[in-house]
Amino acid sequence: MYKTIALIGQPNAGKSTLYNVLSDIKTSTSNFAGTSVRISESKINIYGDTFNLIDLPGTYSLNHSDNAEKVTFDYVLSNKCDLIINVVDAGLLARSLELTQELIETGIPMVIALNMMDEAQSKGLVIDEKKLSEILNIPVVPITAIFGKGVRTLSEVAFDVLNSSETKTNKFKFTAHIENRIEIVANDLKSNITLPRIDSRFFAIKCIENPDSISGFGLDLNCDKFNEIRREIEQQHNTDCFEAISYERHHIAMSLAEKISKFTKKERGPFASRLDNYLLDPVFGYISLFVFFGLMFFTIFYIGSAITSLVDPLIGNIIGSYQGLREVNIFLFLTVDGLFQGVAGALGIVLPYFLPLIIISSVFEESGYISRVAFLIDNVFSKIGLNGKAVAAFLMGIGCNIPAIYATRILESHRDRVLSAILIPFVPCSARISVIFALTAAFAGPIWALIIFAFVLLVIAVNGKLLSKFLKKPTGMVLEIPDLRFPSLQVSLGKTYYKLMDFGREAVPYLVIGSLALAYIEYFNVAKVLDYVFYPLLHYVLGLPEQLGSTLIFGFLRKELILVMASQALGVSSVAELPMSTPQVIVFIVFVTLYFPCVTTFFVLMKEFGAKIAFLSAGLSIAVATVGAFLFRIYFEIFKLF
Amino acid sequence: MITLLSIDKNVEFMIININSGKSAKHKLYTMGVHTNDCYIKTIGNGVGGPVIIQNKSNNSTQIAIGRELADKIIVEVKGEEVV
Repeated sequence: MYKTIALIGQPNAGKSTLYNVLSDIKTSTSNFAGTSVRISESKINIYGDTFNLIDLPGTYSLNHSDNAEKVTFDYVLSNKCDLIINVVDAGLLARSLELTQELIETGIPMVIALNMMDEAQSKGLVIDEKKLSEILNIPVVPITAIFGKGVRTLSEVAFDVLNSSETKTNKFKFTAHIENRIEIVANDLKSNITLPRIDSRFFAIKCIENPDSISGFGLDLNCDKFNEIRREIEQQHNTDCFEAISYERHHIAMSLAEKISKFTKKERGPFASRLDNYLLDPVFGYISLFVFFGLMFFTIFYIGSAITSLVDPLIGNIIGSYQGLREVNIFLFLTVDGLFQGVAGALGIVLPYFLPLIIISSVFEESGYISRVAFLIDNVFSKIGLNGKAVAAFLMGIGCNIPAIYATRILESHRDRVLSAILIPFVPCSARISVIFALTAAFAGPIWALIIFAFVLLVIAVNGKLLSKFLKKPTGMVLEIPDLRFPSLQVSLGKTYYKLMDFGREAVPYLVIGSLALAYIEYFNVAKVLDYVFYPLLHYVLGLPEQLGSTLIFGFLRKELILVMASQALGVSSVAELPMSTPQVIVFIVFVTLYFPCVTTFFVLMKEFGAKIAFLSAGLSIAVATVGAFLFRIYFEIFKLF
Repeated sequence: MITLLSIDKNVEFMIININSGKSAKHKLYTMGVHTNDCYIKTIGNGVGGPVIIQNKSNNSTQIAIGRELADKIIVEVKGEEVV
């Protein structure tokens, strides 16, 4: 059994960056609070010994207010941690020390990693880490995780603490009357606590400030004695116990931060803050938002279509070179064709649009602009029954719906989570963006891609508005706006590389196997059965070729497959040759964009929210896709466009 | 009573009371927003949007607060406009 080291800190403190450096395994990082909403685990080796390294979701406090924070709280109380590395954003020292106090209260051995020291210095903050270490009796290691600076020392110090028998830390003291009561409660609870690694003082403080948070440990938290203690504290402080304790922690942290740090002249010029004023301005902010998304849109569209036009002739030539096989052995021909079409679809159709999208989104995540978008869109989102914090999850959905659904864990209320999870599958992921761009580039031009994106936004807004009529009022937004950072080229390219590897590992095999399966479906005449099932929908409602029926099934596996499948089902070598009119292509894109995203998203929805919500989302998306595509068909028939 | 929503941008203020529900209040505390602390309203609530505040004393991060919640935070203006 390996000893476990858990990385715990407030959101955006750099835990995942440190985890990546320590483990050499790449997890998602970004300059936005709440990017990591799940536990990441890896084995690391220090001085020849193996340890479990755990990256936990960021939490402001051990009084969790959302599901991501609860994951961390539950892990701390799972009795599995041998050592906590408390990752502290040095630039936000006072606030971070509030969580540090709570972690010390658990009694689990600790090391403090004082991260982003370079940024703290540029803010003019000088920290005496030795003094902090002396006051707390905890090793404090200054690091800059993004450059790996200090990380080696940190792992050596962690090793020493793990192998030390003496790990007693200095606990923070509350005011005397609260301390007396904590002692009374701790003595009463001691014999009933079943977690040997967790200090009874931690349970005593939680019993006073937030008994609900430890209700699952079989302790009698609401006996007359404890109720009386809570009443006394409330009377003395003229507020509830949560606020009283929180207020004391806040002041302890503030005075400690003052003792160990001082402000000097800022190194950083006012450029970042001036830029921020523009990005958050009620007028310039929205202009910047439109310019940013407009540039992103046209960059992806034109780079993607330029690469496709270069690759298409090459693919056509290769397909032409093995056509002779058809006469020799039709089964062999279909196998070769199926395999090649899968690879060609991945590299020639999907990748040209996917690559610029992931480069831009990686830079975007690093900069901290997501929080600015959330701030600007809050008032729009509040009109569709959500708040701006949900914007982050929706933006993640542009890359992939699956992390976006997990990201709803950062939302405090279950109501907001459910509504977001039902709406997120409408957000076009990178696969569907590739479908939209590839088909509009071949048939209709960028304006129609824009119109389809605008229609998707309208669909999200109308569905949000209608669904929120059946739900209670949304919660108000409280969102951290982290400092703007100039995106590191190294980190952005690293993220792009890992996203690309994910695409290679997860999407390409689907595309190749799916393409091969479609070839065999054709060989064994199964496609006709599938096409027959979808015939009423495709022919009567959408006015599309019936051969597209089987492609819709593959689209349920992965949306990129649609492009490969449609070309293959209709017997052409590139999407530009599809025997469909422009209105038919647009109707097809609208349907494909809106009908259920993919099977993995469906199962993640089921895991996070249960079968009822997953099926509701699936049913709603199919209905909306059908109605939406039908409306486009009617529009084209009335106005006789193209 | 003056609320956070009603004061101008760049005004320094102290939070007197948070009249919201328990969960929003607790969220604010855990994010470092407390009564009796001084803040600056760095961004106003233009076009019906949220506001942004920043703790004055500890050079802390900025916190965006939805306008409905901002309207429940009672404040006392401490000084002249800061630029």
